[in-house]
Amino acid sequence: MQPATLAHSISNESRAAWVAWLMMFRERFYLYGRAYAMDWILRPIFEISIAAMIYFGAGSEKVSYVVVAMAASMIVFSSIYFVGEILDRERVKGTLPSLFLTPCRRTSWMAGYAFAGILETSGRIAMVLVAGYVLFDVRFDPNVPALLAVLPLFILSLSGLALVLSGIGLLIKRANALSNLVSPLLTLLGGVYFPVSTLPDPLRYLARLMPLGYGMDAITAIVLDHASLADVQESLYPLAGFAIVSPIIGLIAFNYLDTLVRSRGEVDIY
Amino acid sequence: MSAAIAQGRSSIRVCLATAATEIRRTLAYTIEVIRWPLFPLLYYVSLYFTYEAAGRDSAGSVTPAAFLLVGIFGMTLWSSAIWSGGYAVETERSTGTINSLFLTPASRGAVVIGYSLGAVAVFVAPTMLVATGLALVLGVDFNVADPIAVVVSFASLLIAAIAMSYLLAGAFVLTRKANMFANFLQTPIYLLSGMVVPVGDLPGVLQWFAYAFPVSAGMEALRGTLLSGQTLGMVGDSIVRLLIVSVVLMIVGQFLLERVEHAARNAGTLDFE
Repeated sequence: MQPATLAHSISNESRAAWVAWLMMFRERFYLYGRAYAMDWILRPIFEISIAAMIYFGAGSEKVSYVVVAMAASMIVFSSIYFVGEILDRERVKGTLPSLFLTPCRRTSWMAGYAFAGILETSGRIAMVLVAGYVLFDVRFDPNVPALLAVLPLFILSLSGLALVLSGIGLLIKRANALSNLVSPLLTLLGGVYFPVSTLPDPLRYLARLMPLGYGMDAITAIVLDHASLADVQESLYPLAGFAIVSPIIGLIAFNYLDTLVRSRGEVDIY
Repeated sequence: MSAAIAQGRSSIRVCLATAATEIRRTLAYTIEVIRWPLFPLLYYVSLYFTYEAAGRDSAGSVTPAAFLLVGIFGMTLWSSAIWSGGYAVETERSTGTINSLFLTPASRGAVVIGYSLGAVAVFVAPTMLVATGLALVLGVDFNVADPIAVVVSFASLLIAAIAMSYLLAGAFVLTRKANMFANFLQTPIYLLSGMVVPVGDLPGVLQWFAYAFPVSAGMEALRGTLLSGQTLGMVGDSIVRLLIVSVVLMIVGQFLLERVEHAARNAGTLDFE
């Protein structure tokens, strides 16, 4: 490829990603507005409150665990509700075929959307942590380098799940229903309200087949107890394995489902 | 008199037809049939294990599994109130049928109640059956001294939920962001109404909400009659309070529905999303 053509192509794809981010940001910020903020900011605080009331008298470390796990679960919920539903939402709005027909790579506008999701998720994580600090007196002692190593692994390990959900959502045309089916299951098995190790055997074995519990164990130890990577290696190795395998499986599954929906001519049918 | 009877018959027909439509709409997608009951059941199990992790062997005066069972009943009815009856007008708007609906002489109230009854059939009843089975597996001991009291308590709870949905149906049309408000309304109510945590465990000021929220009184009565051997005479006060609040909610809901329809027609924004 000629350098000028390559530069033009990069510029074109960057512009597509930027515009996609801008549109998604505007949609979330202006269209949904205060109601959206109320839902996504205050709901986790009420969820922590429920756990705090149940754990009342059982030790503040359990509430601290829930606060950090709830903050980490914001990434899980974004994978499910944001990334998992992107394509189906566009379909319902009637803009999916147009997006597919735009003269740019699909990864460009999806990257723009994903970046909007990352920003939004970061805001929600910050809100949960601040609420934990102010309302529940949780004190953090993070090992920042370890956290910077574990968080990308956690996000990568969830990316496969998000891609699979996105593909299945396209196929069954009920992405939100699918999200609502998956999210309570991941709350139960993902160690949000309690560490996975406290689950009874059959459920714990099931939970250990997923990356969430390992991620939660590692992140809570790193954020609350200043744990190092060596301290959390029992969780780190499985998490790293999931981080490698999950995106690959996700991409294969998504491509298969995407092709299936296109070949059926159902891209804009819902 | 005969006009009133004809009106009543018409309303019942509208109500049943709407319920049948709601059932068919849900059954059309397998995932909808599975996911509605699954959410409260998984939430039940999650909270049960949270109580276990906290080392608590009681919630209120009963075991956590028993306490949560009635809480899940309340939660299921509350979710149904929000997402079926409460969301009825909004559903018609998003499916593009609201103008046609409001051009018919059908009673708006009958439509809202029809949605609620449809949800009782496809969501509430299956969820409660499975939750009860789950509770038995978790070792819940039922202590029923007066079966009629259990039936009356449950019926009152159901009426309160339908009354709530009536109120919400009007309120949701006031906003174009009903989905967000509906989502937001769920968790605070789980906490403040005594569904997942005993009201007595809440800080003083927060307990006031439970006294005003009708579903709380219904759950209190159902817990008493189903789990603690209370009789109709012992829970009568709660039930009367619940029914009075339900009637008030229905009246306010009817007023809201009429006002909102009038305002939306005048502004020509009834079908705006």
